[in-house]
Amino acid sequence: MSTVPHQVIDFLTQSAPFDVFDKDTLLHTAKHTKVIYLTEDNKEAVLDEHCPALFLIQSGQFIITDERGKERHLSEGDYFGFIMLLDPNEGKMQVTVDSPGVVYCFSSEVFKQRCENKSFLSFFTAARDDVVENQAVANSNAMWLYKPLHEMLQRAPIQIEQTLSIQAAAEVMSDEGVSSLIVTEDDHLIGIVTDRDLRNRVVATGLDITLPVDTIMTSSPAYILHNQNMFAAIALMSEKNIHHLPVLHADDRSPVGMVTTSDVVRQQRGNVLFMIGELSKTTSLYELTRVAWQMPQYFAANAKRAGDFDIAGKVLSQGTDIMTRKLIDFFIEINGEPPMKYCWVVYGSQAREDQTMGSDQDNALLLERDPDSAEAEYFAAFAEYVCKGLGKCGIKLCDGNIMASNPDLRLSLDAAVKQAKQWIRTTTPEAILEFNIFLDSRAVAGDRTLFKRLQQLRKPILQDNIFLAALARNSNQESVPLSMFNKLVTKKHNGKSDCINIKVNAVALVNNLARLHALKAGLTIPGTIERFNILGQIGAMNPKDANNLRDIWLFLNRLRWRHQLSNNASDNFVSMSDLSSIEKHQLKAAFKSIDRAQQSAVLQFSGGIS
Amino acid sequence: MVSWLKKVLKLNSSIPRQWQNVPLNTLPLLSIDFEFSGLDPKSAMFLSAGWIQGQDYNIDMGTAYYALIRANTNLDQSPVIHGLTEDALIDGVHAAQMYSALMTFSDKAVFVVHNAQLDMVMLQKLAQKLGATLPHIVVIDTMQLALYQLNKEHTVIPGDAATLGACRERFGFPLAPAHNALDDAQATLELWLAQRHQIDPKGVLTLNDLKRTGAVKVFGEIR
Repeated sequence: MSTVPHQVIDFLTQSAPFDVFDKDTLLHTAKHTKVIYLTEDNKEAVLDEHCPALFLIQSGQFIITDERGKERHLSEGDYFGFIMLLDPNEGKMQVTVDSPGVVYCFSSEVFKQRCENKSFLSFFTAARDDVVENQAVANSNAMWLYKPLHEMLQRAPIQIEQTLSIQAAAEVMSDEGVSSLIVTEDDHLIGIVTDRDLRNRVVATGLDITLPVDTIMTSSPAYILHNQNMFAAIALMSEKNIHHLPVLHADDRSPVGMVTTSDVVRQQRGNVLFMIGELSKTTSLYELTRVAWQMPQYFAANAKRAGDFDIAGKVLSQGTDIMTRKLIDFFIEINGEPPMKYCWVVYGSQAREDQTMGSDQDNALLLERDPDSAEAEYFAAFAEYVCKGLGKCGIKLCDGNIMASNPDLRLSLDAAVKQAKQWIRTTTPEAILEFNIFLDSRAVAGDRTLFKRLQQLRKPILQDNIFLAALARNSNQESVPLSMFNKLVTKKHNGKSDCINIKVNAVALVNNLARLHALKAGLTIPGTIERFNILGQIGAMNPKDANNLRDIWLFLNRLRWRHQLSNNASDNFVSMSDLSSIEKHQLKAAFKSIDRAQQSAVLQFSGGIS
Repeated sequence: MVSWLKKVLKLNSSIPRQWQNVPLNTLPLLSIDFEFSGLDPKSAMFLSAGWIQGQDYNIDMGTAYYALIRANTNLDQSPVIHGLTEDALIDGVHAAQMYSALMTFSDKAVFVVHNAQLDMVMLQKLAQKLGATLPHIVVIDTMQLALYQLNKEHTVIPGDAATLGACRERFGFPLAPAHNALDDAQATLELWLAQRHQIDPKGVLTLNDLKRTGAVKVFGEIR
């Protein structure tokens, strides 16, 4: 007779990865389950009788020294025994019973049958390899946005020297089947020609097709560097309203390819990026604020899939960038050009491009030199206008007054360098808390070379070992909310008793790790994902660790955005009851990885003194 | 009432010899639970039955049994012991079928029951109705065992402290919502495993040793 207690089926249904199976499979699994009361006294007999087998804890607390010698503290919902099932050559595991409890036992035969399901199998291989399951992240339909452009480009660039004729250019385009062409001078980009140029500038005007191609090209076109990602390319194309974007090598600026709108369309289904184009089209403060205020609703309505959550922070940050540039344009239209070179710099989440609905603005002005009183007045008004304007667009004013409207944050290049030297001398926890936000920075408008000079001057200062040690110790102050026996430690928030502050207790910790390693390696880019990508590539971090932390960051960020959008909230208190069973497992695995990375950072940067 | 109970149950304090010196860790166990239409044995009817087998610290899910009992019991139909079809399940089985299936365990396993009294009275009544005699059944009553433990810890036992849920909670088991007779049978067996570990961690006690707790009871008649 095929029946089993409901509670067995219920427990399996709640226990990822068993939740992937249909009712019949679960029933079959349940029928072949042995339920064991595992105690310190009977553990040897039990393990002898059942191993190799998969064990799932329903109650009790156990310390497992797994087949590879790693100690794990486990409790309800956790598994053990799977390493031996996956790899029979591994050693034996040891069990210490902290408090006895009920453990479900699945024979190796049942385990093998269930492993025919790929996601079931990958759950356990990921657990074995101590990584957050990559599949969940890899499946995301937005991962392509994060890939460097050089990995995305389909083919070498189609290019032609400027002195060749229009007809020759058209022939190349026709032979290669492309709609645009890079025009070069000594192999360097000087312009592009598109189908549209041939139509509008040649055919429609009856132009002589033997003329050199540079007569009809668009000179000095916008371009992007090959180590940037697809997202940056799309944002640039949307902002400039162009359909063809040459890609140049970052080192020697030689053309390496072309990104076109059709590349984007091919990759992208309708998504939240639409907002960027809308913001770029605005021509007045009124229009800008009107579009900006629609962003939250637009996000809530359109961000439904994991992939949308992955890019939501980037879109919001790019949107804030565009608002800033628009506001600066509006101010200059009324008040005239700035009296000297300046750069609008952003910090914190906007710099990292991981803003959320609750993020406030953090920005500053970097000036070429100390201004005289009239110049100072101009920039005061300038900053006041932009910060207030951002506020009107829904980007909250900063509580800590980290805004360009604060005179302390309108520094000359020299003063900014001095400030960095000050940072490394005062590494008290309070001081670190104060300047930590400035360590993630990005230029948004104005003269970027000014900012680049600051970064170059600051780079060696911030590589100071004592400074980095202090940062490492400081970021170790916060730890992940996971108890000794692998239980999530939750807090009460808004009437829900099972919340975790995903920003303070998780995302910020990963950001800290990325920042620390990036400073050490002398990387100036601010984004956490980009930092990990590069740190892994250049060998500044073990690539496996870097990729794992990157995936963890994406996963945490996804939980955060889903929480904010589905609950219409701007806080970061994610309720554990909103998570699926597999997400809870992933969250625990993520926390464990973060904890390990924190420990090894303390070791690496401060010689283990924490 | 008390004399009536004694008469019906023929309470017998001696454990059949086959079980007496069997260590607890080798006893074959059958945990059972029933649902009735009421609490008064005179008028109550069987609604469902569930049981599951175990031994030592294991519970074998493959042995789970669950049946709804047909309200209007037609005793003329031949009882089918095994191989209940899906259709039979929907309609429920005759009480006689359930009884025959259960009695195949009477001398093969020690029954584990939480609060055995009502269940055994009901089985006795059912046996009479079927013109049979309830065979000798040895029962471990997890409620009595819990009361024995509580008595050692408290002078006054808090109300509800001996319910299945409360007993399980003391061992840190998840609070399973009450489902059906089979769920409770499994929950009872899990409770027994935890209780056994508490009183006999080294696995040296026999069924006889357990008698002093008042949790071992013998029902029915020696055939």
